[in-house]
Amino acid sequence: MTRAVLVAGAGGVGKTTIAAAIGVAAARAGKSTLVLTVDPARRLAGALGLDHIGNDPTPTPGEPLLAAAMLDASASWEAIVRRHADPDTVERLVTSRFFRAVADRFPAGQAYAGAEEMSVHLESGAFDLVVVDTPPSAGGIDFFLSPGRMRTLVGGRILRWLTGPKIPGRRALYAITARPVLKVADTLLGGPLLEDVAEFLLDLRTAYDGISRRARQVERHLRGAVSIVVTTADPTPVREAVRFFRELPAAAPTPAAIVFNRALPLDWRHAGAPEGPPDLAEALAGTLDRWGSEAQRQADVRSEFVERYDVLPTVIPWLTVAPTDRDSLAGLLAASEGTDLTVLATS
Amino acid sequence: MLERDLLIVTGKGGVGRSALAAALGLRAARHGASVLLIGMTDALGLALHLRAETLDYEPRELRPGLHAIAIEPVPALDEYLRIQLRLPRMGPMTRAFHVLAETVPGIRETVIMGKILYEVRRTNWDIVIADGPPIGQVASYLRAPSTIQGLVPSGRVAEQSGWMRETLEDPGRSGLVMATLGEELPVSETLEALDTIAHEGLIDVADLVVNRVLPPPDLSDGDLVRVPEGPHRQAAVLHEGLYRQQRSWIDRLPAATELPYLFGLLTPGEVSARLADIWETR
Repeated sequence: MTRAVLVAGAGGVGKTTIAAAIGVAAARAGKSTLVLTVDPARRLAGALGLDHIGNDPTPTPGEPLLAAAMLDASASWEAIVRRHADPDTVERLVTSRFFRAVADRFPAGQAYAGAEEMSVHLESGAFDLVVVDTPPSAGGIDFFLSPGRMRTLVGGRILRWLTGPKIPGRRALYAITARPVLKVADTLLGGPLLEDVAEFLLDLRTAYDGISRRARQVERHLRGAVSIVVTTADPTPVREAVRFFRELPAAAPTPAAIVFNRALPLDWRHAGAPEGPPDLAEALAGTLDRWGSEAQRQADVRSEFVERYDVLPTVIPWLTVAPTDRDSLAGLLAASEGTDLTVLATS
Repeated sequence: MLERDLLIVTGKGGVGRSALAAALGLRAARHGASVLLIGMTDALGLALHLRAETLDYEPRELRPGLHAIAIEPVPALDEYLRIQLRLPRMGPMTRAFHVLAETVPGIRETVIMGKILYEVRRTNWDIVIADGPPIGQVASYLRAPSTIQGLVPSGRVAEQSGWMRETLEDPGRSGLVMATLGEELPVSETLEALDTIAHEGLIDVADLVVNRVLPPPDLSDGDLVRVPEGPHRQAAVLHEGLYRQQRSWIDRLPAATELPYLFGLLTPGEVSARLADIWETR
């Protein structure tokens, strides 16, 4: 069975790079691996040895077991509808002005489309391992919550109140109770907006059974995955990382590792007097003093996290230059300390 | 900048948006202004930078002249319906609007912007400072009034959107503070957003701030050749490398206010207070 490794965390902490590094390391450990990334940056494609990363898995030249694909979290909304609604409804939905306006911006839809795309790759059986660089919205929590939200939206109480009970063939009727509301809304909004919305949601509801069943499968995939949370020692990403441990939704697995990226060496904290030319002693001591206090701060943040959430950290050193090829990507994990991410992903 | 009625702080996640919004609030309050700070999306971040546990929907005075609130979409929508559209609390209309807010693009953003601009229009505050949405979403918030005007041509909601738009577009009243870092993605997203905002004339950019800028290294490349391997040399090499990277990204930005990297500071409260002091002198 294909295993999923979900790499979550706030934006800007190096999540995409670490997902790619896990992919390279796993491929080199003999697992046929797909890296699903949300990052359209050419730099990452280049580091993996590709010209660009498309929506379909592209094998990397020179690394037979490694492929990469883009996780397009907004374009497949239409695909969801096509998969789950009957042809007439699909036609009506995709040609409606309203659907076009909201298709890419449905708050619950974007993350869900990504999660569903991931599921397709998990079910294809083409890979031993799928490493997912999750979309950074709400630190990746949205990704885990999306199947549940999708079900709530399509089968929700308010929607049912607005559109009435589901009766096959009865599409254009609204619940009697909702009718006066729609009238008032029209006056207030100056147009038949609410009616458009009800119409749209009603169409979407005909696809409810399909979407709901699928959402449960997607949820199972997410629950069965190995999740890895990436952060730096800065307060904002740490707070997002904490959410995975504290407000963990039932839909997400307990993180198997917390990765602290951009870490400074601990021995910078108490290095004593500098060796070297006496004329540089002051500058050297001053520089190390600054960075030593940073190293101390990082260590404090890490030990507080470890103590509170009882998880072993993986510590990855701070590099001045991002990895530029597969070897330096793999090197990133080789230089890490603590929980071995390669072992975690492949064993 | 602090003369305006409204400042919205935006930036990519992790650049220190909340710290900078809090620092601006501290500065304005020190000048004797009556300030309202608003947490738009991540109220906890703003709260910590103001040394508070949490923020509420009702304004709380955290220190003399400095008040703060957190906007939560549900009460904001209820207030919008009650005050702006004069609908009764939690009637069927209100419930229908909650469906709308989840589905129609721009409603949620309009409600949140509506709450902010309502506070601007009240005379309680000299300045309203919003710890705004991430830079990737800021245009859709600023655009929300026009989106609504496009979807609903007339009616009370469209009227509301009209005055919201005017207030945002007036450079004498409103301004955007863009925060970034000297790194690849924050810089490229900032340039993109600057472009969109200028192109669509959404709001005046009051300031562009690069946060966590490293001081020039104390040792040159030539010096480093003479230093033996060890922690001191490693730290100097890291500093030099990061500094060079930062400058190469900052060089791609238009003229910006630079605020320094604060080494070893632990609490968000310390960070925002230090940033306020330093920013005042820039």
